Amino acid sequence: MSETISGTAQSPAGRGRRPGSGRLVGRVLRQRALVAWGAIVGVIVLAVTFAALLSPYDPNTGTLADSFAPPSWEHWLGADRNGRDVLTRLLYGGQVALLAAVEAVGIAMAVGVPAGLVIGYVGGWLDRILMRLVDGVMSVPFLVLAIAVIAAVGRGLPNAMAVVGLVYAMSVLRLVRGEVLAAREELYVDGLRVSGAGARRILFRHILANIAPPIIVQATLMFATAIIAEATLSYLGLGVTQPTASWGSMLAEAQATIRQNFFLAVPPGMAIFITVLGINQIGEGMRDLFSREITVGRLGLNVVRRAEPERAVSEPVPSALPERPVALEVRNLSVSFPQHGHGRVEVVRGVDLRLHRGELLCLVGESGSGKSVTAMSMLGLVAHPGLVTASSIRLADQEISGLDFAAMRAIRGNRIGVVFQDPLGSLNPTFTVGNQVCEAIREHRDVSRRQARALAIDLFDRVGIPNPAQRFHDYPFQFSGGMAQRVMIAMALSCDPEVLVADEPTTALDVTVQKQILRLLSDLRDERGLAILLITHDLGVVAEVADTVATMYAGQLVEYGPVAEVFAQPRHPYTQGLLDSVPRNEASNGPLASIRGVVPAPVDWPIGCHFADRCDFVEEPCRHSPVPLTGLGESGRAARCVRAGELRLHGISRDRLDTHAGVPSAAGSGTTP
Amino acid sequence: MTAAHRPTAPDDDVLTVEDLWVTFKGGRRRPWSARTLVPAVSGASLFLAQGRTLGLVGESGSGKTTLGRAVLRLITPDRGAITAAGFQLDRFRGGAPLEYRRAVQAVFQDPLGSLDPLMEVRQILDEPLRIHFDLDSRQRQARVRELLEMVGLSAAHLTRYPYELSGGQRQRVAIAKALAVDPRLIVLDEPVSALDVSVQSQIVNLLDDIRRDRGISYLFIAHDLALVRHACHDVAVMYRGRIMESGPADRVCGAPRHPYTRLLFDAVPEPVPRAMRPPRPARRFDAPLPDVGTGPTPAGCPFFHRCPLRTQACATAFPAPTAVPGGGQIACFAADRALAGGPSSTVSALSR
Amino acid sequence: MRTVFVRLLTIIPLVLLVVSGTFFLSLASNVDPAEIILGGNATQEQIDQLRHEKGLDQPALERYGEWLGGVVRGDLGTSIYTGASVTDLFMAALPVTLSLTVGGLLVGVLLGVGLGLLASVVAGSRLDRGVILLSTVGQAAPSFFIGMLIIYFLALKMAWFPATGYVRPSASFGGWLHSLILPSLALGVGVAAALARQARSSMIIALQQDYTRTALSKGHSRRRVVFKHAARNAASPVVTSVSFQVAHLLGGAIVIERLFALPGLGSLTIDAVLRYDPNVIQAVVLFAVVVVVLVNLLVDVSYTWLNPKVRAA
Repeated sequence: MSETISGTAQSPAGRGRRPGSGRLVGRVLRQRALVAWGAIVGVIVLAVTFAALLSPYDPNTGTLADSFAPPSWEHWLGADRNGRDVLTRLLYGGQVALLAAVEAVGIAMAVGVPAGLVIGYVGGWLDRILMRLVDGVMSVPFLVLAIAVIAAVGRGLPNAMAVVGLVYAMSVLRLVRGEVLAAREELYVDGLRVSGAGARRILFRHILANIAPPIIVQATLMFATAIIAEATLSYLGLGVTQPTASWGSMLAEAQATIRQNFFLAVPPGMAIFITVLGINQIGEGMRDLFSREITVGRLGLNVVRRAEPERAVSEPVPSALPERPVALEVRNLSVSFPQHGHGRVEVVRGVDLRLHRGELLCLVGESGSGKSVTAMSMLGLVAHPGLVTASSIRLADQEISGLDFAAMRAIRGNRIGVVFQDPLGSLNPTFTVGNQVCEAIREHRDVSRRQARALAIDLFDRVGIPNPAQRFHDYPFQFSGGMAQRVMIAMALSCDPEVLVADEPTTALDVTVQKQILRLLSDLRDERGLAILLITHDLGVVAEVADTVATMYAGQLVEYGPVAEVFAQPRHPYTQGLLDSVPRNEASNGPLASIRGVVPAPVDWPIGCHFADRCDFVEEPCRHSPVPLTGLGESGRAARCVRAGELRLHGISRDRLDTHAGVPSAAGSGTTP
Repeated sequence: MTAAHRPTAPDDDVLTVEDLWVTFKGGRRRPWSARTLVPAVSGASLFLAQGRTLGLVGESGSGKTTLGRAVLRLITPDRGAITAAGFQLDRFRGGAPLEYRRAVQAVFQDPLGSLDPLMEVRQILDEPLRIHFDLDSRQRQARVRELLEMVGLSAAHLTRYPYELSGGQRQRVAIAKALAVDPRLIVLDEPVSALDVSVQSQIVNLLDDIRRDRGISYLFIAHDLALVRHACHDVAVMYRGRIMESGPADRVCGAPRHPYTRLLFDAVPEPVPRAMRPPRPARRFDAPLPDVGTGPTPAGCPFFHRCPLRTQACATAFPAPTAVPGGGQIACFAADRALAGGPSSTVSALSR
Repeated sequence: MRTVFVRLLTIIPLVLLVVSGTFFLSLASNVDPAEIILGGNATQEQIDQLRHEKGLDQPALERYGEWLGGVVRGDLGTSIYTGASVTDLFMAALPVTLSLTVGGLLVGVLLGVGLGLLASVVAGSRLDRGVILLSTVGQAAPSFFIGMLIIYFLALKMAWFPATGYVRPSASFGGWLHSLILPSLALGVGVAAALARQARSSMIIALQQDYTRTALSKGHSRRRVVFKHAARNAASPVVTSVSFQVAHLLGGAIVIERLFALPGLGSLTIDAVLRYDPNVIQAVVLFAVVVVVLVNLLVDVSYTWLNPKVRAA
């Protein structure tokens, strides 16, 4: 059973709760542990409820002659100091425990849930005052508070558990309030308000349903805690009164005679333990059920394996820039993940890439294309349980597929630098940027702190960060998105790598900032002969900076070539469709072109061409068998299309180049929505 | 926008925003000091005629989303008048009345987040019908099917949950939900930004068809300029809470006049490779910005710190709009110099 | 520094509120200490006279003012039952409870955070599952049962440690430590279990963040990524957890003192409840609140060190 993260705030969007009762029951049954523990607890509850039927003895009286009797046929678990049957007392003690827990949790829910809902949704001064009160009460340790109040209201178990219930109500209130506050900020609540839903409808029909799962889980876990609370209070003498049996009081009695007879402590102790354990497991199981399963991976342990030679391998495509040395060459890269019910599913299949020094190659694709996974997998950064295979990955002359973690460490950051999409999330918020960049330098270079600092400040200057010496000491949150991305670029370049991989580096930035970052990257390419692999979904970015472009669709590379050529005359219908769909700054002329249909999910990839269902030029042979990537003779162009040779696609047509004319252009033959 | 510059009569307007101011309260530096104020929208005015689409563009922090939320009455402005679908929003006490929620609807950016994840599609579409109309169950079912057809989905989608649909399909559901009450105005906040490019066009075309069929007006908030030019009749460009330029989409996008708008359009990468572009003079503008003797103030133009045409007046006040030949207005003290530039301007010292 | 001072100021009303609450609660109680002391056969006259002697018949506000004034001076009143000074009783019992609480905290933090960290790094492996199992068990068994098991195996069977009793450090330092080991263990196991879970999950979340991926992409070793990059970010929730556990520990100490017959505040409190001695109870509540609140303050201060964004605000 995969492990989920406890304590994570679950967003409602991640919950697949109640997807039809049939599906839910299926999931429950799959959690075998949950079912098993449910059965165990069920048995305990039944046994305890029918104590009178199951046992002929009176729990409160016994014959002194049986004092300390060992387990026997008459007394299955023996007898205590007063000759009372232990098993009977255990069963009746269970009744006490369960009833006490029901009382406490019942009060807690009845008070805490409505109060939390109202306070969380309404807020305002009511919220402020009540939360101060709650904070005050909760600042007293639970047991101390319980004892103090019991001292005032008098002893006796019902009183004691009522006190426990009220204290629990405080934490329920806090939990519910917190969930409501979070839910209130969700976009779907805005949508409901706009629809005209009133506060009551939003709160009770929508928010409550969405936050019910964590509340239910909490109630279950609280039930277990209440059992322990009752046992503790009874152990201390503040719960049940003599001679009533309670698991806690039984333990207290056992303690008095621990030296003579230790065994007496075992039944009540184990009873508490198993019951609490069972209820905890049920609660945890429910939590797993309600939330998205996060399979936990091992840290960066994902190396690239050599592919089996039997796999069909395309012929290598001739180089687009033969005069330049090859910086990075990838052959037959595939990535797969296990998916429930489908075994291992490939998300990237048979990708070949070649990157030269001083070349900026754009890897273009939409969602589901696998472009990010491709780039990350080369560096061994795809998390477990992903499986990465390749026939070969060569960095200049070195084969890097098959290297283990330690060997890859020398490559990462040193010969290949990486820039990620979200600069503010990708920098560690608890260290200064200077610290992080120096760390990168000193990982691979033998320099002193002072030298590293000088280098870092130099780099900051080169990437266009004003006041570099001062900014060195700033934290990531003090930077804007564009500046933070410059920091990332500086960090990626700190050891003068041969290759830079940039995964959607400008997607999260404003367009004016994007332009500056793109210019920076192209300048760096020119200055240092850097080979850049830039992943993007934006064709404008491709047109702006790329030397060569590779299009990916549904896990495969479908087109490759110099950017001007590919844009002028693409060889794959998908590339053409993309070019047509991008709105351009020109006078509108009828509906926008689009590509009909949707991208197939990896489990639904057809045998033949993945694009077949959406293609305007599809024919029978396209669907027949896997389509290889074929070279198209000239200058390193390649396309994965059966009809690549015969199709004449118009690309970005000439008349559309005049962006200011406002002249209606001849609409292309693009696909209709 | 002043009345003199409007091509349509005020009575035809489905949305009028006059001098809108929205500020957010930030945190406090000390427990006893006042809360810091964050201006989100400053003195914005615009109008939208019935049956047309107004695009509202800007980068992050421009205030466009806030303006949209003010129109939807999800937030309350500090000052200014909003009139939408015949309702005057400053007359609302607290929340908006139910009739307003019928007349003005919304489609949000994140289709997954904006639909209740626990509801099936048919429940999502059914709910607005329950709230606003007095129909029996069969009538509602019929209407739900009608709505699905309108947005290009099929009956098979009725029992799906949002997480089971693709991004484009979810957005279609969101549009159907907005259409359920037969509104006059729909505020669309970045409706296609989270979708793939090939799907964006599908949704934009769908929206346009619906608009033609039903005469609905759209306030289309976006950051993609080229898309807005296709999708909208008129455009308003915002920067840091102020409307910098407005006018017919073709004019604003084809021949931008305000220095900020020009910077924006200059920065947008066209999907045309450099090798294929018509030759343009090199624009390496590292020229320093003019020193006008004072620094920027909160009352001045927010673009002051980046503007190559700035003057001393720009630091201390925000200009009233000036008309632009060809349609629309710009808010610029240096309007004469800005307008002198001409469409395919080579005005020197335009910033990068 | 200024924030610390401001926080200290806001603490005082909170403490006052809670303690006053307990005071008035005990006044509102219909349990009459005089009746309890004199037993069931006392006449109304005798009861009234005892009440007068003990000052129990004064108006409520006067008693409150008197008590408050005493607290400020350091005088916590007198035990209604024995007449001894509560302050003296308190000071005698305090070191015992403090030693036990600190011991339990040490066991809990070292064991819990250590195991949690370990488990997060080898997540999904058998070692990880073992730690999760241990943590589940540790949270399910009540501390006094664990204590009894420990006493049985380590003290009674093995005689490595004393089963009960407390040795003052002034009498014998080694003996003091020795007498604290078993109780600290019993108290700390539950805390360790909870902290292990929290540490594990916080670390796992940190290890899945973008900045961890960046650290790996720079070519850092696993050790550096875990201990420098991830741990710093995972620390905040764990520290919060520790502060909750301190509150837990104070309550748990009561139980463990009973089990190991340690003459600490716990025993004092239980006796006070059974005999109805409100002054003692109030003193204990006051102590508990002050400790918890101070710990929270410490935690907040640590946030500024751990999280630079908080520092700048």
